[in-house]
Formats: sequence, C-alpha cells, structure tokens
Amino acid sequence: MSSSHQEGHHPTFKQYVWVAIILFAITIVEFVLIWPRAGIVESLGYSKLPLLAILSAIKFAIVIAFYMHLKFDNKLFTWVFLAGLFLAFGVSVALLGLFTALGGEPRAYALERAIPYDAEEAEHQREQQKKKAAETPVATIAPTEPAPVATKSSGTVDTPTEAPDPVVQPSGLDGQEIFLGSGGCGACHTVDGVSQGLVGPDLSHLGTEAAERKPGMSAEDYIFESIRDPQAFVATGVERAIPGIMTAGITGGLSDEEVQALVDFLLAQK
Amino acid sequence: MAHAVEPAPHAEEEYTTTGLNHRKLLMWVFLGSDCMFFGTLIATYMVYRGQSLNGPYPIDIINVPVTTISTFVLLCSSFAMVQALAATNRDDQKAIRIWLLATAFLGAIFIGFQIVEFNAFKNEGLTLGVNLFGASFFTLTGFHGAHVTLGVIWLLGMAVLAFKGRVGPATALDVEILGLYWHFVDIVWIIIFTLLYLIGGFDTGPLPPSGG
Repeated sequence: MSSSHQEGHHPTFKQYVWVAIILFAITIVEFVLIWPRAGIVESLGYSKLPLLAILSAIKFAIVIAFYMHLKFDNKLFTWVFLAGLFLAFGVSVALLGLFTALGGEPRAYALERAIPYDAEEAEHQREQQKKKAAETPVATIAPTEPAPVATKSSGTVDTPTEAPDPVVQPSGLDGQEIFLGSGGCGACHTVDGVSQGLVGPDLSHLGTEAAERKPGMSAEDYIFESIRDPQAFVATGVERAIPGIMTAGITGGLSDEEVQALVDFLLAQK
Repeated sequence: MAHAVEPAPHAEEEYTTTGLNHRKLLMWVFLGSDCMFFGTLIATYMVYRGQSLNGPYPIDIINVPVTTISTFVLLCSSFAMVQALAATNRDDQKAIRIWLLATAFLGAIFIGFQIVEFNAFKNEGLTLGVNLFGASFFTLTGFHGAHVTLGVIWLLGMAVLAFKGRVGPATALDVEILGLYWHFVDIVWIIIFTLLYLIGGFDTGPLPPSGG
C-alpha cells in the first residue's frame, strides 16, 4: 500500500552526501557573492537579487526533493505542499507590490523623516540613561538638586549655574517633571539628557532658538502659545515640525501654572 | 528491500481512500499552511524593509559571517536527520541513537547562535519596539527559532524512545514525519538567510549612505 516505506525509493547514503555537499557549496557561493571584501558584490549591482533568489530556490528545491523525499513519494504530497507555498508566494508578492517597491527602496515618507544612526553615539546615550536611572532616586529625595539638568551632555556644560534657576519655580512646579510626566511631552520630543522622543521637533536648544522662531514674539510668549495652541504657528525649516500632529487637545489638560513651568523649563534648554 | 512484501506485522497500514498514510498527509498539509504563516511574516519584513525612521539599521547590527556559520550548522543537522531515518529503516539501533542526538545537538547549537545574536542586538540597541526593522526582524526570526526549539524537543523525545529500543522499521513513519518537520525548518531558514542576511543585511535604512 504505502510507497513511503519502500527502501528502494529512498536515496542512498552516497546521494545524501552529494546533496549535502551541493547545499554547502551553494551557501559558500552565496556568501562570496555578497561579502563586500570579496569584491564581487559591486560588479553585480541589481543582478544580485535574482541571482541570490535563484541560488536559494535551488537549495530549497534540493531539500524538499531529496531530504523530504518528494521526488520519490506520491505526487499528492507535492501538490498539497506546493499549494501552500504558491499561496504564500502570491500573497507576499501582492503585499510587496501594494506597499513598496520590490527592491525595498524607502518611501518618500521614510526618506524625509529618517534620522542617521551612530552606533557609538547610541551607546553613549544608553550609558547616560543608565546613569540617570541610577541617580533618579537621589534626585527625588532632594528635589532642589539640579542633577538631571546638570548631567546633560555637551552644550550646557558652560552654563551650569543658570540651569537650576528656572527649574525652581515660584509656583513650586517642576517643569521637567511635567515635561516627562503629566504633560507627556517627552514621548514625542527630545531634550538632551531628559527625553528621546523622535516624533516632534528636538527641543534641546529651544531656549536659544525660540526668540527667532516667530517674528514679533518673545521666546517666552512663543513657547507659551505653542504649548497652548500648537497650530497657531508652525515654524518652517525645523526638523519634524509637522502641522497637525500636535493639537491643543493634547495640552488642554494642563493648567496655566503648569504650562508656565514648562515654558521656564524649555527656556533653560540653551 | 526485497522484503517489502512482508514488513513487520504491526507495521500494517490502515486502509485510506488515498492509499496514503493520514498522519504523513496531515504533516504535509501542515507544512503547506506553515508556508503561508512564514510567507506573511517574510512579506511583512520585506514591506517594511528600508522604512525604519531611526536606527539601528541592519548594516549597524547584522553579522553575516557568523550567521553563515549557523546556517551551515542547520544544513548539517538536516543531513544528520536523513541519516537517522536511513538508520531507522535498516534497524541499526546504535546509528539511530547517534544520528538523532546529532540532529538535536546541531539544532541546539543553532538556537545557541540565535540567543547570542539576539542578545548582542539587544545590547546594541535593537529591540522589538525600537523601529520597524527590529519589530519585523525579531518577529520573523523569533518564530523560526521557536520552530527549531520545538523540533529539538521532538528530536530529544524521539532519542529517548530510541534509547529504550522502541524506534525501528515498524515506527519509521514517526521518524519520517519528524524529519519532514525538521527539513521544513531548514528550508524556511534558507529563505530567511537569503532575504534578511545576504540581501537585507547591508541595508543602511532610508538614508543616503553618507558618514558610515
């Protein structure tokens, strides 16, 4: 009855060894083709894609034909498997065709907004974050300690005495706390050493930049307005300043005192 | 070979309309459906390829030579698997045990490579939530790793039976079905390795490759 148990239909040991050698050889060829130091990949250009696809398809076919015995087995097994495989392939190609170029070229959206990545810089930031996390309990015990502001990376080292002043508010509200906490600003905005949001503009140096943003408006008034009514004026030429993402509804829950504390905190970001 | 007419009496197959063993047919149906499972994950990765808005990008992270080695390990395990099935068919008890354990061992080494790789990626800042690359990469390779892990457990279970002397020509179909699953995991990796490492491993993200 069952053809699968008949020994004669299975490949011999020698054939299995040959299959393994061919699979190894193709993998080595693939690696040499793409490894930059081998110097072949540049001359391939766009033919690299179909070449690698064909080589992998050969490996795929060899494994299912010999290791999985499809070549020697009942054809129904082959059809059942290929049905799933072709459906999967069709869905994949359709998805790629719908959403992106086959070569994976970035869409305009990504091209406009992506930011470069520097591995060393990222590691440095992670270390700083760890350090900050270790220091946070101390800072909450002694709230007058300006530690989080003072540990900002470069740029503010020359003005350490100015930093603590605006943080201590007459209203007793801590702008940085609101920035990270109830205001939720840090989720989208970056302030060096405080937050790493990547949706909205970088506010690390807003204290110096704000005065130039809106003609005829002081830095303080401009920041206040931008928090209360973000749509009132969208600065041009500022990275990630995208109209419509930040709305008045986001900041509507903040009291005037809280907004003022945020303004003072941001004014201190020089 | 010549004894195909009179196999061990308990190896008698039950009657089926297709003449094919139902368990084996079911395994092939499952593998066909698993193609679709991995197909969607691979397509998702390819759709999001090069669309991450922030790093780490593949070129900052992917180590092609190391993964080429782990690919070899997985290919070797497939060879060990066919030897285990061949040994089962000729009732070579010692060889059955050795090849089953070898397959499981090589599979475990592959998992080890993946654990080290994931850990290194995490330390370099790539997590499931950091960007599109991290999300689609870890989902795809993670599910493949889960398949390999399940295969290793299955292989070890079969090895335990082999050491009790309960694996032989009469149960060859059990080993064959296990082998089908194992080779399938191997062919999925062939595709993942090509797309994510050989082709996608040098992607710089949506940026023009300027400073590095």
